[in-house]
Amino acid sequence: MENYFEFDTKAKILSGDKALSRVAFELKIRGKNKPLVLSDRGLDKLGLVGTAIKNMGLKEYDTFFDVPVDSSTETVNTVTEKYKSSGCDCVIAVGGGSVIDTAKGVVLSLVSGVSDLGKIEGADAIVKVNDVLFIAVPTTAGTGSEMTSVAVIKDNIKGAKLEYISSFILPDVAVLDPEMTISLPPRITASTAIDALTHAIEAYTCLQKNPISDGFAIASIKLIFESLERVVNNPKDVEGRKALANAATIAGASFSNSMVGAVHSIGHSLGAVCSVAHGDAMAILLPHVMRLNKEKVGDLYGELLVFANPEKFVSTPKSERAEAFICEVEGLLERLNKSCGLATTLSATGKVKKENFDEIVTKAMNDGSAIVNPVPLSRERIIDILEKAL
Amino acid sequence: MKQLICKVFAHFLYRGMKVLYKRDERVRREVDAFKEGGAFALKFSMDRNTAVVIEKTAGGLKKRKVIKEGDIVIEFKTLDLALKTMTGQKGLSQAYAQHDFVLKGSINEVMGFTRAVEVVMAHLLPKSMLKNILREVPARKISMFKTYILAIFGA
Repeated sequence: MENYFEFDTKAKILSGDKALSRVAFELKIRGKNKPLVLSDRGLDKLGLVGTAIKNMGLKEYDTFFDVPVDSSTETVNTVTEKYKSSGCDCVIAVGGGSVIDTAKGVVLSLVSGVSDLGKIEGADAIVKVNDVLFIAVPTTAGTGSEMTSVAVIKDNIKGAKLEYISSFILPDVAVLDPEMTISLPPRITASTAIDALTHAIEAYTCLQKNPISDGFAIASIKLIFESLERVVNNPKDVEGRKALANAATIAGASFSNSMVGAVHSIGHSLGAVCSVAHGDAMAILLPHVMRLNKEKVGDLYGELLVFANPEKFVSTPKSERAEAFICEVEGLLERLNKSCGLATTLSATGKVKKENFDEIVTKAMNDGSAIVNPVPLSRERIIDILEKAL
Repeated sequence: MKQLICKVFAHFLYRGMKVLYKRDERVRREVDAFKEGGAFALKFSMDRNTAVVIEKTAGGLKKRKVIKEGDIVIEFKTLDLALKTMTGQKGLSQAYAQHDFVLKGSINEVMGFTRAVEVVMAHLLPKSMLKNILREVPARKISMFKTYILAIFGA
């Protein structure tokens, strides 16, 4: 394969204790006075957005807290209008994947000057005409959305999910403050962290992998294996929380550049067809997809064993390291299943039936991530994975 | 010259797809899933207006001269990058992975087109080349020679 890659990253990362308190300075040096703060009602009720606004020391700002579970073009248009009419000069997203994707949609509209998002759907298709400062404050440690150039926004009129890949939706600043994730329940902590682990493992093995994304992926895998169980067993472990937040962000930078593969192709479809939570789908599918890909990228899995279990790496012959790494991942998932109830089979979610398989397969085949999985996805291969995961 | 080469190869890609639409269920399944009246445009360079536009019709595929609103456009960043993909030196998946083109339109819809292109490529290129550009070489339903004969003299 021709030796060429692109690595696109932008965000200044503010990570650690009281990171939110430094946002005011970031706004000041960029000459911004009035952010529009986006979030959702759930986080508002929990008091998390209020805490974030207070800790950021915002004086003049406007808010939009009605971001739905699935970001939509209508919401993006409403927020964009609000941004323009209220005289805001930057966007701050406080939330999970949907809030950050909505903010990306708003930024997309503003930087491109295009009102119909359907017209600029695609990869690298956006022409920038304006600058908009964008700050992301993730409230989970999983999606890595604060570091990705990808957004998915639902068009309710077309009944389709529009996908965007553009440098111009990368946040300028990502804020990783442990106060935002410290109260996450163990099960959500586990499923979001497994999402991040999946990002890192797929980033390390997908078609777009490159030396820089590899470095990020490895750092993320190491942090997750070191910290996840500690945090699940002791949710108030601040150092562990910081490590998981860093891991998710690093994995985000990695997969944004090397892409994710079949775990995500099938996982997205399970979410769309059967409403399986994204992190749960990742946990359920990851070992099965790794076994499919082992034939092509077994050596790469073998390399990762040292970051999951250094002693085992030393004692395992090279030819057996790939399987040993998959077993390490399975072992982690099983322990999480026992400690916090993380789903490890599709049956356990109670949402997936065999009659759903056909629709899941069709959607998975057409998912954008299918094209970069090391082993091409066929209907038969996806059904085999689903049956094993059931 | 490079443009001409791209156009010739794209023409064979289109003709090959038409041939295989009738003879290979993998191509037929993918093409049938395309939106009728919708089209895939292969634009060879961002600063030149040369493209091959393949439109889905009720009975299969036809070539059209202009790109219309709503078409899915694969626009190569340079003519050299287009040349590599069109001449089979690089697969479409590889080209996507290496950001060789801008994609305007639904990423999901391009997946089916890519799979169809890979099957067509497998019928148009020698196996020694295919191993380097495809993750897995699809089996041929008809020989390379027969594909070219049908592509030249009629599907």
